[in-house]
Amino acid sequence: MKMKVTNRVREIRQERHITQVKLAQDLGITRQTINAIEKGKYNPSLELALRLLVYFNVPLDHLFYLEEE
Amino acid sequence: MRKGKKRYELLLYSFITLCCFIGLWIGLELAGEPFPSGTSFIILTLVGVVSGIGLPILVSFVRRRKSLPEMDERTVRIIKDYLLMASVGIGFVSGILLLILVGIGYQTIELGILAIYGTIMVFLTAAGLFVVKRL
Repeated sequence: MKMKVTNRVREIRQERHITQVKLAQDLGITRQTINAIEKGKYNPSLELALRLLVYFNVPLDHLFYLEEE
Repeated sequence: MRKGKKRYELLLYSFITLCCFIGLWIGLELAGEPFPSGTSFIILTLVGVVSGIGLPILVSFVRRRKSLPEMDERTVRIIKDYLLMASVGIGFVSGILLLILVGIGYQTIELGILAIYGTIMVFLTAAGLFVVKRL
């Protein structure tokens, strides 16, 4: 059974009315990276994932979870 | 708007580089000027390196404001993958080219041709790097 990492970055970001550009600026990364993470095309490094958790102030399993492919 | 401007800038740099190569070719072939050597060659190379690498770096440093960064962990990973693939590709293509040349009877290669081949490969790799960086 193959599992893939899925995230709720887009949902949480939109709930809080934060733009991709603002999020990218605050985290010091490119807007393209935010887009790639939201679309599931790129899995962030542990460091970036932890920074996202701190930024949104949510637990790990609320932002990232495993899903069957 | 910003994306379009960057594309325009990239096209401009490519055009200038192309013009440099055409100018060099005209100088060597049509005007019959000899290829520079010795001190003048070193000076010309240094001027080329400073204008080609130093000036763009200086311009981007001056322009840098507190805005979105141009590179992050994902960009670095993409660039690493691209350079790895490019080096394997260039090695593969060069090997095939050598085999073809040996196959059709060539026994020696002029250093000038090798230099031009190397320059073209570096230019293409660098151009690809600009494209990959923006993905």
